[in-house]
Amino acid sequence: MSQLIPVTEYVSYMLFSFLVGHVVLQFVPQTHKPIITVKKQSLLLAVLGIIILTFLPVLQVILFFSPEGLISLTSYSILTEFQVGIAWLYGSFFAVLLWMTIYVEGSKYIQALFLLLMIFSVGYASHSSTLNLWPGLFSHAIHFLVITMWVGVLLHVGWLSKDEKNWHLFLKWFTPLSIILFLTVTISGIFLMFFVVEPRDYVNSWVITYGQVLLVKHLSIIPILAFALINGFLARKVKANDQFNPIKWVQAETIILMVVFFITGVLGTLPPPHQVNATLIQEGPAPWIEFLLGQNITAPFIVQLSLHLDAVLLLIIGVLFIGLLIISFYKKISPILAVGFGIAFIISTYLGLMFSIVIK
Amino acid sequence: MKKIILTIVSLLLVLPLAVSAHTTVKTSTPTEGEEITQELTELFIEFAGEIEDQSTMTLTKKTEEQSFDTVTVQGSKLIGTFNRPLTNGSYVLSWQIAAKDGHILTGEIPFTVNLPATEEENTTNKESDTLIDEEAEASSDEESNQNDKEETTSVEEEQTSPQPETNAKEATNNSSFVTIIITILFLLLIGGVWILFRKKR
Repeated sequence: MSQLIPVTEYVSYMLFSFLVGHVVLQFVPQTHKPIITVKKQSLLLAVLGIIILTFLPVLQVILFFSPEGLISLTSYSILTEFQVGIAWLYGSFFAVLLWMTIYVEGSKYIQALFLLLMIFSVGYASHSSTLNLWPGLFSHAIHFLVITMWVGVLLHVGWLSKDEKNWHLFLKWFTPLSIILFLTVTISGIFLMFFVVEPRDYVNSWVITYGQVLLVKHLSIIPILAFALINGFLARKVKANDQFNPIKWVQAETIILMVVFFITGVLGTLPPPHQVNATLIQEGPAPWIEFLLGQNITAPFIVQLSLHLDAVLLLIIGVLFIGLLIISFYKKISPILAVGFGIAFIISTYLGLMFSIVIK
Repeated sequence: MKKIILTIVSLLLVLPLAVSAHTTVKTSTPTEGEEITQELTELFIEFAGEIEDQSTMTLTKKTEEQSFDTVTVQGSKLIGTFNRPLTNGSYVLSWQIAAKDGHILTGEIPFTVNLPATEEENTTNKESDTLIDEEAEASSDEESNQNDKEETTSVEEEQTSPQPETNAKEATNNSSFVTIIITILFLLLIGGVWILFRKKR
């Protein structure tokens, strides 16, 4: 069950993005977006999917605490008393209202309102809101809202649009918007990170699974930025009659974004390193890190970075891969290859950083 | 879409079920592996964040469960009390909690109780004077508090100033592994460059 949670989290992030993207694009006049066809059924199913998928983490808690099973007083009290249970009840309540609004094709403002309330319910059960209710809730909800806006619009434009009609008018509003969204995501993300990892512990946390996964997540933002640069700025200069297909490149960007979503889903199931040394003692280091470093890690420790030749080589290779990613746009190579370069960048930079770790 | 599914599946394989069910215990009385030499009637575990009220803990001596007289949750603390101090022996305190964010966490704290012989008589003769018992309880409470403070400070010291002699580790990277990795990535890079610049000509 607990192995399933990252997958269900990932899928629910995607469904949220799908719905948020749909609502956002309703606010854009038809002249400023490509023609996108979304079936009402898929929207309705997405809402239902969210209700079911977000119940799984709650179910996990219920099954753990109530040996009598799902239909019992204990499971009822977990649903109504636990923060995750309450959050799910509120979220589902608004989801049902959203479902009905979509069903009757109601106002986009009402759709936006219910979706926003659902996102705030997600924020209520987040790790950060349990540490510090209002700042945690808001920063989590804003982080989630903003990333789903970005990914949502890209999903619709990349995978559901018929052709690249109105592409330049679309970029005219989407590029500045995505810069704002990116900055908001980054700031709220850093804020959220400081709830669980203190700034001075960031490098130390790399020896713990949580820190490892967080590092990979941060590294994978760089290829996303490269794709955003291509899609937002470089693609503008391509002449309309050229055989260049911007949609394929948007799809490539969303693939890396999906990887980040999945990593985030995994991150949510890992114990956060509030105190790195204590976590190491209780959890042990990340399963592969001792092999990677060729040394045992025991608390107390301090991680320092010292650049060996190997590490420098790997970091340079990583940077070159990003270079190749951007060059492959100019060379009009398949974007799939560019995704490959992006992933190669993540791997080599990650290893480069790992090999430069010195444990004291 | 196939590509996406492939990526997800491969990622699933790369991150093999790294889901763990343990987390940070901030402080606890007793601590892991501690030998208690004073009478102990209140056990508590403090976690990094707030926990749900249904969280519970059990104490076992060998295979025998010692039922707590009360188990309460206060914020991030899980507290279990006994009316009578624990007798000598080795115990395992196991806890099952849910953090407010829905994380289920479990863990065990093994410890031993080894009271000095004179006091042991008091505790083993369970039917003896309650007066003495109560006095002993009161004093043990104070002592355990003191004990607790000392522990927390020592933990902090450990974290801020790691002792150099135990941690003088040489960075001995698995050098052949590193070489292989670098070679593979370098070849991939060359391959990428070749694909990109081949089409030009």
